[in-house]
Amino acid sequence: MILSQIYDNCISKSCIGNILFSESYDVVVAGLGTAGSIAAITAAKNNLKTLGVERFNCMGGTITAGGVSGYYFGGRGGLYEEIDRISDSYQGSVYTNIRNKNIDAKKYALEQEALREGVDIRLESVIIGVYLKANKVQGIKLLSNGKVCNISCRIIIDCTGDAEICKMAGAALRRGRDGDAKVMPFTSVKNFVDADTIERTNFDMGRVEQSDVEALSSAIVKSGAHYNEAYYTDGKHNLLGIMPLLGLREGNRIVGKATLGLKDYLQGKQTDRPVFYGYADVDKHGIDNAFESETMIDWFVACNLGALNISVPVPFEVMIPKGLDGILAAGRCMSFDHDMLSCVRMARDMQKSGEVAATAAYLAITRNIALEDVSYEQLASILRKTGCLNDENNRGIRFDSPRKGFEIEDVYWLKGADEVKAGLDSDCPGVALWSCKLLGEDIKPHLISWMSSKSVKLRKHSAMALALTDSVEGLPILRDMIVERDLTMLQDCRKNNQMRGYIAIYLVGKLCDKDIADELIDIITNPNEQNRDIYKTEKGFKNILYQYLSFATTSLVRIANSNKSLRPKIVAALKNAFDDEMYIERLYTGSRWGCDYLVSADLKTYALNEVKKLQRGK
Amino acid sequence: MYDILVIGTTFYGLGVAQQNAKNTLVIDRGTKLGYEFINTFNPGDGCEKEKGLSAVAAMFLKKMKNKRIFHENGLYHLPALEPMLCAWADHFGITPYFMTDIVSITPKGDGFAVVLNTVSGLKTVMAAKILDTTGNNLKIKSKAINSLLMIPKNFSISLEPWINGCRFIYGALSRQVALSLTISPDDDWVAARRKLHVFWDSRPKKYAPVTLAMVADFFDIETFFPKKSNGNYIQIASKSFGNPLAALDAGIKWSF
Ligand SMILES: Cc1cc2nc3c(=O)[nH]c(=O)nc-3n(C[C@H](O)[C@H](O)[C@H](O)COP(=O)(O)OP(=O)(O)OC[C@H]3O[C@@H](n4cnc5c(N)ncnc54)[C@H](O)[C@@H]3O)c2cc1C
Repeated sequence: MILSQIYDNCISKSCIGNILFSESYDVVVAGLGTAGSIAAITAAKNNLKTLGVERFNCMGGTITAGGVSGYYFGGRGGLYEEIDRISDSYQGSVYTNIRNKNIDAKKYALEQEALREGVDIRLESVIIGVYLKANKVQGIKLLSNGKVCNISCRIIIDCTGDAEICKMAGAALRRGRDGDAKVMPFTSVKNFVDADTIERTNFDMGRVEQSDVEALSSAIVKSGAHYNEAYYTDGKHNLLGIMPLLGLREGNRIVGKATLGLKDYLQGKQTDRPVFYGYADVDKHGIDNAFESETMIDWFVACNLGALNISVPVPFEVMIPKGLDGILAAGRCMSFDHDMLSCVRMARDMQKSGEVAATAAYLAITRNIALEDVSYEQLASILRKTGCLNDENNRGIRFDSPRKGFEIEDVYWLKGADEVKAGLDSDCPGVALWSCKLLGEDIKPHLISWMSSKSVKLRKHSAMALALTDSVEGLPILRDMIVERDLTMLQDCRKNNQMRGYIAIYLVGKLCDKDIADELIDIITNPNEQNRDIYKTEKGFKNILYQYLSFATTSLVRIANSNKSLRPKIVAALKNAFDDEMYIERLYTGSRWGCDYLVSADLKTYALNEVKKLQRGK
Repeated sequence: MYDILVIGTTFYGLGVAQQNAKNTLVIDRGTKLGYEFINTFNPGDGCEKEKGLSAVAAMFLKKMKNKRIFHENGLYHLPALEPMLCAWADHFGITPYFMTDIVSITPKGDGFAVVLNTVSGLKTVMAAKILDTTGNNLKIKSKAINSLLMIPKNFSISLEPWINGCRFIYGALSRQVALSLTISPDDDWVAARRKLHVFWDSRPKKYAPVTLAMVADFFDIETFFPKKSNGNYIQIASKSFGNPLAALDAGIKWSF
């Protein structure tokens, strides 16, 4: 037997011969959070002997201890809805009635349901080791109540949100964006009294490596301090409390037997064997869009489709860590790429993932087969019965909003030139732009001809569409848009509309256009840039200026990489722009902590690192 | 080698760490500072008199007053004390290890080798002394689960305890009241929450509009022997100092 443990973030494996287990379970669920609570209850409901291990003192994780009390999209159906009905029935009678879900009512409902089904709940407990035979999990080393014990199990479901147990078992992991490994920002949720009910805050505070004890602890202290006010009045918004579990949107994710990526999805590569459907917009958080993947920037920035919801069929294989047996991941540590995670992470969907994992565990255990051999048909059939897998949740692509009264609009990619033209000739060209990306060469002649139209919108959006299909014909118009600092905001998105000026900067960078280099250099180096009218309306952190600077910087780096002769000039400009603190002061004069400061500092670090790389490549 | 390993990010523990932040490691299994008062919604017996306070504690009291966290009538706006305490700890460079459990403690040389389980995995640290400020290993005298209440604006009936073991703790803000329900020392979280739920569900009808707004994340515990020491392993429950400021001040005055 091998005991696998983590010391200071490094895996240590030791051969320990035979081991005497003091207890034995069919399933151990690690982390009784959003996904884990439902996984544990589902497993026990299926008569599996189930142990639930949770670090905090309650069930529910982010949706209870993290204070995330409301649903945002996701799919309906499945066990979680039954528990919600119970929890809702306590609201107003025992616990305060709130607009969303009362977190104490939910904690209680989960706990009582788990007990009723026979889950052995170990709160304030952690797994500190995993036992393996070859690549198959055999049991865990548990620290509970100050005591360490060894417990055997047939399957572990890792619902820790950070793939902690998969990591311990030796699974391959990925983290954050492909380019810089940065994760989505976290929020420390604060609850306050509003009239006779409770509301919460939800804004980006920073980024943190959640498996670094010093960084995480420091983030917790600093987030708490963020709510320190000069003076507390008695009236509106009286503080009730800061939630004990930091709101981490993204941690480590497993590398699974299959990985769900946004690029594949948008290219139509989707599974026909879903176990549930994820549903939301690409709710990526963080404003440093210039550092996202090309697919994400094309979608979110260049096409302004940040508010377009997608239905994502999720295959079971994203829960199976590659190369391991006897262990599954559910919740936000499933095998998604960073882009897809920003969409498939909502609380309803994560609860569903717990139900799927436990149902698969049930099939594997009762049929005595490996997890990867679980029959899709049998799994889907059970999940359809409980409502967890519900084809009505496959709602395609649509403009949707949590706002009541919002008119939902189904979206189909455009095919005919006339409809594309009408779309481009509007304030909301996003769907037409993405359609052009899909149509590629077929639409190109039309786009070229539309560039001489009298309509400014059609002209500019056609140039943008050409760049999205990697065609250079629109460059002169894009350059003009940059020179004029085109301040038109596209209007497709209900929350994060993007501005044509910096979209054009991104697109010229995508095409490595050397003729725009001087203008981009001027943007990042000219101290008078910030005095232009387009930035003047901004109070506090200058987001538009940041977008201009960040896209100009990343585009210049692309241009420098593709054009040797321009390198010295661009290197000198980057140094000039970022070598001192003046750059950050152009954007921001607030505290040296929090998201605004972080993204500003990150841009500087990026630029100076690229300078080094460019100098090395000379 | 740390001079001291402080167990518990309590007021007392933080006070001790403030003296010698660099050579003190403070650990806690939770994520809160000063939770034994703040997150039980129970400020204890009020605030110690200003006289005799250390300079740092006196400044802390002044800030609490200026921010209207501590009012002249001796009442606290406890939830607001948390951000202030976080800012205070940050100012003094105290960064504890949160979500950290002790796996084992072994005497070694003049001190201890302590194996911790943290979010970074297992870690061994050496400390000359260990000071446990949680009271977790001391005999429990009383244990309660508390909850902040939501009292509607137009509710005018005053809250009176209707059984032994139930009491109300008043905060400084209007309608800021916590229920405190005594439970058995053996009750774990699941049992405690069940008792609280059943108790409040069967409250007198006249209190029906009053609901549980936020259940405490920490038990409100009093211990029998607030102090116990075994060589360089010392246990002093922060809660036993009676109130946040007294605990902080005592920590600041702790002699290394
Ligand atoms: C700030 C914020 C706001 C959000 N807003 C919304 C919203 O409005 N609507 C919506 O639908 N979704 C929202 N989401 C998304 C959604 O809430 C989360 O993605 C989802 O709850 C994550 O579920 P999970 O099960 O993966 O993780 P969690 O619910 O975080 O569960 C992980 C659990 O594992 C435990 N754990 C971790 N490590 C260990 C260990 N080693 N041993 C034992 N236990 C361990 C943790 O304590 C925790 O209980 C939000 C997320 C965040 C962070």
